[in-house]
Amino acid sequence: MRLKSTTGAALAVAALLATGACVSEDTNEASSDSALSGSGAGEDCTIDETVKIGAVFSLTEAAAFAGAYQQEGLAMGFEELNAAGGITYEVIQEDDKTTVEDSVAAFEKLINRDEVSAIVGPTLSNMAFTTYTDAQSAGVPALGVSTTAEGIPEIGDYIFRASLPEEVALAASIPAAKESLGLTKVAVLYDSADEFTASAFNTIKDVLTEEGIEIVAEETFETADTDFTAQLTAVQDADPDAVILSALPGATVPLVKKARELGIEAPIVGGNAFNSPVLIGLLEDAAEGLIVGGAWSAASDTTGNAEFIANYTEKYGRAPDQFAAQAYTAAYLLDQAIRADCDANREAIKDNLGQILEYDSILGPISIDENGEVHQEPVVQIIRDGVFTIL
Amino acid sequence: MLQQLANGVFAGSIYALFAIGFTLVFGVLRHLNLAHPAVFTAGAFVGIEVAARTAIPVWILFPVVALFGALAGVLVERIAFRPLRGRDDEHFAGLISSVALGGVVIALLQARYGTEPKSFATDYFPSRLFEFAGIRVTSTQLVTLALALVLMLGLAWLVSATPLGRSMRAVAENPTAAKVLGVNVGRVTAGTYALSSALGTVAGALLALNLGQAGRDLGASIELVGFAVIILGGLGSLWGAMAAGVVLGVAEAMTIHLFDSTWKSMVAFALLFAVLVIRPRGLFGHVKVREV
Repeated sequence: MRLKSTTGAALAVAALLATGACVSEDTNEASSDSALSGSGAGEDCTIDETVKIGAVFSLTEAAAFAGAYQQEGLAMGFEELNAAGGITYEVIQEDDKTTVEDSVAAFEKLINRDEVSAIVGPTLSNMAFTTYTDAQSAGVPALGVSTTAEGIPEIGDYIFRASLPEEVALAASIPAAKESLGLTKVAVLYDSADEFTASAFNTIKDVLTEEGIEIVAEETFETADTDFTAQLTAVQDADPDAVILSALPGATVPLVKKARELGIEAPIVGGNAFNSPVLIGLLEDAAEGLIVGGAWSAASDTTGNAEFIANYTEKYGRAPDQFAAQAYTAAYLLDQAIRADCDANREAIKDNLGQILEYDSILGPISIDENGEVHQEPVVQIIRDGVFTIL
Repeated sequence: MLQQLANGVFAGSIYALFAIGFTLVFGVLRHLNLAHPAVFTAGAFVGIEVAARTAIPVWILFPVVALFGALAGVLVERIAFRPLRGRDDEHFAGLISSVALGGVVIALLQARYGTEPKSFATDYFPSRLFEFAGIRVTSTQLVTLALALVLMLGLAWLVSATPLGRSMRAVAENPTAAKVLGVNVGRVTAGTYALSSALGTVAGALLALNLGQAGRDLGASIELVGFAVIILGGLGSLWGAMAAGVVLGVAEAMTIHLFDSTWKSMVAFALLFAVLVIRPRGLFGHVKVREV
């Protein structure tokens, strides 16, 4: 018995060493495949070999609410591009189960075994901080579609994102809310245990100071909390014109429901986490009057948006959300980068992805600069009669 | 101030309900049942599903959930504890096997309900807002407090005045002697687990009703506070768990009222630490400490 377990352990160690060896051998190997560079340019570009694109999303566990939409949006984007002809894309989809370990494993598989041209994902920023370091050192371009944390594009020149930072979304929704609601004093509620909501809180504070709005209550909570009544009572006592909420989706629903239940009628202003039809479904009547800053709106008349919504709803039997829209846009952005030099090699994608200027997408005109950061106009919406309306 | 005091009592009554179920098993059988948070979570999901399928009113829903909990409790004992009975490391092994069983329960919940949180329909139990003497109270809070009181007093009565309660106390005192005197220890053990889990599942469903939703991490989120309540009240003490639940709830609410919400957990756990230093057996614990 003892002998057996020792052998097992030895095998495990050997296996670990073997994977370690693999990784170090393959990194920094700039492979260029001539079959991946085609003829023609722009819309006439034709590449004979199938272009493999990796996708890593959280399809199960905590972030599945986003990952499932991302998978569908991305798949739909590439299907449309395949139908358009010239380049054939194959999406290799991996599920990171909302864990850093599985995310790293998925990136390693896509980079070394599948030898993809580029990777879209992962869903969460805290996984991106690890996996993007791997993508960077392996020289594989990675495009984030929901990695909104500060410092993501700074990881390296192979790292890009087409996901509006939470800070930008909030910074847009506060002045818009002030203008239409005449805010003078607000309460701020934020998740103090989460890095991104806490950093968004600093932005909120700066924007409020700039706008000359007074903070009459400042309360914190944690997503895992089981009771928000005490904080909401403090908010209620301060009698604010509006409540500004920086929360993860997990806490948003119980918080907003409880606030309405306690009789807080002030409008609630939030960031990206609010921008989902699923949220409206869960909140039902309590969703009324929420103000949401985000990257995409079902109500905006951007190029191809109506068509996107119609096709998506027909294909998947549910309305798309911001996650689906951003992933869908990512397919087109990658296509733009590949068609620029008619070259689907990793180096060419990296060089061209950072030079996309004012591409007319369903998110509106979108640019990616050479540092990999996205530039687009955020959309501010208010929920009226259960539907997102542009504020 | 009064409002926050009331908030604390409402929050604390759920802590107390979670804690008495857990502490009951420990008090009678000296078992640390770490599957309790998972059973608690299961109670929330079962409550939501039963409510959605049958639309039965709340006062029937909770007995149904309790019945499910009782069954689950018997199963927990059969699966995680009974096979280990009589072993030298019975208590420690039971602790580990109940952790494992808890994991299995959560995985089963995921298989049945998926990864997204579930919630009661808004019109299932429409929450109304009342105001008494300047204190705002919602109907869910009232139901929670009433149910918690009924269950806690009912349990106290059951343990002190019924034949089952007497046998439970006999087993708690000395299982061997109880057996010699004709107490069916197996049945008392199963009964204790059934009661404990029934309380746990009802607490879970109540929390889901209060919070507006239930995720698979519902039990994990209350686990730490729940254990703090148990220790604070004195491990194995029912009255202690009830009092400590309310004390902790009020302490959290008052911290938010007087200081800052960021300090909430700090004050709650500092309180626990202080009690352990000044009074290691907890508020209501017995002086006699038994090695587990």
